[in-house]
Amino acid sequence: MPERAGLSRWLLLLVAWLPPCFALWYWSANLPDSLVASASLAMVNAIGNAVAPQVETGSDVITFVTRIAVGTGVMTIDVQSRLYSFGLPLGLAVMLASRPAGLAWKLPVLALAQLAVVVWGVSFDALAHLVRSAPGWAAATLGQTGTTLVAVGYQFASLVFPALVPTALAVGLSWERLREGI
Amino acid sequence: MRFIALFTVLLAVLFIAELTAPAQQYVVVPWTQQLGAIGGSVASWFDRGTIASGSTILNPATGFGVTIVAGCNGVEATLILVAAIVAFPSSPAQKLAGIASGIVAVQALNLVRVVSLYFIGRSSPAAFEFAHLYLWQAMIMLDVLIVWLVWLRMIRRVPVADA
Repeated sequence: MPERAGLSRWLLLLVAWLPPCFALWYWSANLPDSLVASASLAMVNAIGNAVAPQVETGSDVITFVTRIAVGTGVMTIDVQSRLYSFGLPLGLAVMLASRPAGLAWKLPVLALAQLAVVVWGVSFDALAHLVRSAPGWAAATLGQTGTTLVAVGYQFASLVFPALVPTALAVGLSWERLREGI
Repeated sequence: MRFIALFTVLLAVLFIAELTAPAQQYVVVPWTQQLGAIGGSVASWFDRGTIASGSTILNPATGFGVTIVAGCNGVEATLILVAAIVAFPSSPAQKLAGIASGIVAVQALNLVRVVSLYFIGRSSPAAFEFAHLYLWQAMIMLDVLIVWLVWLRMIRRVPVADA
């Protein structure tokens, strides 16, 4: 965007890139679920004192199998990883519309950051579910402070990070080009 | 780097402040209910059977309704925009103008979002889920980004080394 009128052109390009980016994301969003599940399991167990010995991935859900007894079985928690990755198509569209130098390495950086957001989201979704469903376990394992931190972590995970992180990162990585259009 | 650090701190402070009981009681919940009332009024322009009840927009005849809850009221998007405007080097007057117009822009689009979701949900639950959980969330963030960039353009000040 070398000229000042470039912001309008950039917006048009961004709007044009959004549908294919959304389509690509919707199709591929669950591809890294195995990786997300493993990382989330480690995070949940680190915070929740090894509460989940096992994790499974289904068609579009990640299922945590916990040690908490429910009836004759154990509590399981289903989390949809896609709920935490919807910002990726917007970040992708921002970068493709901006075409910054080094796009080849910046796109993987964006994807990795998004992956971190998804791991955070899935982990805190599972932990928040545990806090709600097993308050006795939460009180004994996390305590009052830990329970509050899980609640705050989940609020960030669900309301702020998924859209903000990829967008802000894409803007940051494209800033040299964006500046020219402003 | 200064902008990124200030933006991060401001956003964390604003967001945690939003989660406190007084903010919820005196700002977030009343605004959410107000949004439901306004959304119900706007929706009734297109469907006379639509009413608002608290933060719920519904059609008593069909029984279909949508309830506006935390995360659907545009508050978080507004806080992100406020943090971005306050963190960027500019005069207090420019910040105030940006925040005022930004709140209007974000909440106006969020109203469109709420009303559109009501009508989308009536016709297609699957489309509602996609629009609600993914598409509109990204569109609201895009709105925040556009408002911020337009504001940057208006204040005509873009630091070269410090952004």
